[in-house]
Amino acid sequence: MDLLARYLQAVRFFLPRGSQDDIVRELEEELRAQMDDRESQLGRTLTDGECSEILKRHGHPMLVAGRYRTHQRLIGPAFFPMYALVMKLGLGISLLVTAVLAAVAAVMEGDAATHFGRALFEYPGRALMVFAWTTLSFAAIDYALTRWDVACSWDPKTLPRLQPNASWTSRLNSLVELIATVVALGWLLLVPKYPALAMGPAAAVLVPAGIWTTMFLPFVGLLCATAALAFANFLRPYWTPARSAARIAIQTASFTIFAVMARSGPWVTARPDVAQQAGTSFDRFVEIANNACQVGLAIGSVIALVEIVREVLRWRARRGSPVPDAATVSR
Amino acid sequence: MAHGNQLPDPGLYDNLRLEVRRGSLTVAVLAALRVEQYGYTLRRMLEDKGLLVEEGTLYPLLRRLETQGLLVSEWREEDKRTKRFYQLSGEGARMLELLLAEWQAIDRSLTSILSESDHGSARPLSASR
Repeated sequence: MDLLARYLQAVRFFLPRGSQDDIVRELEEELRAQMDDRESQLGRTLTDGECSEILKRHGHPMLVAGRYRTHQRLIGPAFFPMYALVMKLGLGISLLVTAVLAAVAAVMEGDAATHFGRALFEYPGRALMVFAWTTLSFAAIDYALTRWDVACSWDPKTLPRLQPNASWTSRLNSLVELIATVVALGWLLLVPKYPALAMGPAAAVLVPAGIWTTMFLPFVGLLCATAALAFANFLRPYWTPARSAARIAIQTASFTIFAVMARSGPWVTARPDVAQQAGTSFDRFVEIANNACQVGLAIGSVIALVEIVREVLRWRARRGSPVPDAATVSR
Repeated sequence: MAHGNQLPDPGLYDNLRLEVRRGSLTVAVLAALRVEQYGYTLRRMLEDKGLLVEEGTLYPLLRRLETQGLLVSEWREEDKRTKRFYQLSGEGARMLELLLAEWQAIDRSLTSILSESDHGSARPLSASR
């Protein structure tokens, strides 16, 4: 019966502390009864192999003990699909951030191989943090909703209104826009400290003019507003007049900023220590850089204007779309 | 009732069969424990009546039903062994009545559905396509 005692010891290890003695006592009784029955049939004591067979049929100690636990899962079937989606997004964004940081470091400090190699080793740690926080968060939500039955208190009247088929927007587009805007915002916030991110090698001889300092916060505000709008579109992927108005307002602000900047040259000047030593050819280089800035700003304002017109036309088209009834939605 | 000569996927059949049996096991255990028994004899009794239950399923179920107040238990010595005897509690008896009524209602519904299709009131699948 040494085998039985070892089996019960193994089961006890995995049992909830408060009920170990009780459960093990009962299991022992069940298994001894099975062994006694078998011995009666055979008319002799069981061999170790026959005892082992009975224990094997009973089940692995970890699985046997697991059935006595009341909380059998971390994340239930209701939340698992959302958990899987958030996990994929989180791991993907984490990879993108790691790659972008490595690219930025490679641009500023050179030696791309070292930076990307380091990023390859850093990513698993980041991915593990994403996995841990996502799993813990969803486990907490699942536990809370199961325990307090919050889901049953929802009101059908708070569901989003019916939307015309034509007004649904692509969640993927919104997500890409959100990620691109956040990356752009990160880049913009790093530019004052690392001008090379905007001007490349020319940062060694050129400095941005004062107009960029004046317009820095408006640019940051624009990107934040764009990111917020993209996030709202991701959560609720359908057109609304309010969001269309917000997009028009953002593009109008963009147009205004680009237009003002396009008329506020120069946009780059020579670094003071370089200007003293430079000759005519360097002045020509500064002139070309400023012309390029002016063209870029003009293009930016034209693009903003086009986006305003597109959004106005989209508003007019969708405002007239019939709202479907339940029969249409269920088809 | 089978459509065509194809046998169902054994894995799928096992899963669905387990789902059907899972619900009936609780009622069977409560019904069996109108008479006091301990775990081993209960399992043998259910087996003799055609309801095969693994001990790994039965004992956690007994504990859960006791925690829910539907069973009472006590340790007693019998045949020089200490055994845990279970029996239906007062609340368990009332619960069993309700569950049996539910079981019979399901049985009547199913009988009605089956007799309707047997008498040809429902269109066969091939005609509906």
